[in-house]
Amino acid sequence: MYSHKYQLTHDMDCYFNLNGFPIHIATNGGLVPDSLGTVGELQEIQRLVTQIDATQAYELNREYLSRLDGNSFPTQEEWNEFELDLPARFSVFDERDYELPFHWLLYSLSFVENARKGFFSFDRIATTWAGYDIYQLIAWPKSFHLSNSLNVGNHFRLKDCDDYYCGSVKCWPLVQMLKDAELRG
Amino acid sequence: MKSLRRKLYKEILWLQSQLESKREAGVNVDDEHDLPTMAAACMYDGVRCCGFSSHSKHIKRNDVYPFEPLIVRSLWDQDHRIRRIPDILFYTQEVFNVKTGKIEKKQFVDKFIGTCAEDNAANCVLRETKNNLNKPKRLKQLVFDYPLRTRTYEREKMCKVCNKLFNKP
Repeated sequence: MYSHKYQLTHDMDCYFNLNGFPIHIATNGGLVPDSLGTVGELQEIQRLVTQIDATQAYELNREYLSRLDGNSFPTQEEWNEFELDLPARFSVFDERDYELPFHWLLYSLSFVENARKGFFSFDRIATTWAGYDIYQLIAWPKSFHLSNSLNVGNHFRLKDCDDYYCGSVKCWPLVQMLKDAELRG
Repeated sequence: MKSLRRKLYKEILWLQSQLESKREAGVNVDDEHDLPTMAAACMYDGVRCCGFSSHSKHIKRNDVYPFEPLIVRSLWDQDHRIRRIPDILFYTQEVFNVKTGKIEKKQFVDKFIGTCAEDNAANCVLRETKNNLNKPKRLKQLVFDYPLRTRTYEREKMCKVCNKLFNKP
């Protein structure tokens, strides 16, 4: 895994398998366990993920997004005033979601991309007093029902998951899964 | 300030597009395949620069001194314990000890110095204005916009160390 300094200064995309479910986390400068893989493995997963078509229907965690402070984000007016194009990646949103507040779209863009590719996509939102990171679910594939599929609920502590599932937070089964899909391709 | 912010947004958009192509190109363990957590923009006398949170690996590799002299002097004025830069800043804070039920002083390691986006941006401005007659004399003359999270464009507060270093309220 990357050095602590790298992890603390980068918003890494980590992918792993948790109890059989494909998970994506945005580390937002948090530390992750070494069991998530070596640097090479992590980059290989990222490469494989870029090749997956973002076609799945997704759900957004609207309850969490509604708690975001809109004043902390650029407004659409500001964006237009600066004559900046919206990221081309905005096309991952369903048309119905263009009605949503602009800051919801900006915030959830990368998580929706991953949900579209079949991952439960989490963001690191806080660190506990004891130093464990809390991850919040932002978007997930619609084909899964949260209540009976992902036992961790809509937020989790990475450390707890690893303990609960006896060290099952590992990247390798996921790499194999993605590679098999690529070969079948 | 608006032009500074526009520059920052453009830089982040560029960075995101670069990242996509890096990842598609495949494994290269010497290269960064993730976005820096934070981005910040700094301005002085018409010179505008953007900076990103970064670790010292690059600094060592490129053999660039991590801080411009003005930042080093300012750090030295503030904390004489800093002998080696980048170093770790320690600070003490009163905390409630659950076991003893008393309030005690505890030493914390706050963060690595020199890894913030503001440091990076300020360094860039100081380097650009090095030969100007009207170069900054103090760090508080530098103007910063809010630091942003590169993934979501969410504005964050400047960290305690940067607040102290750049004398921002």
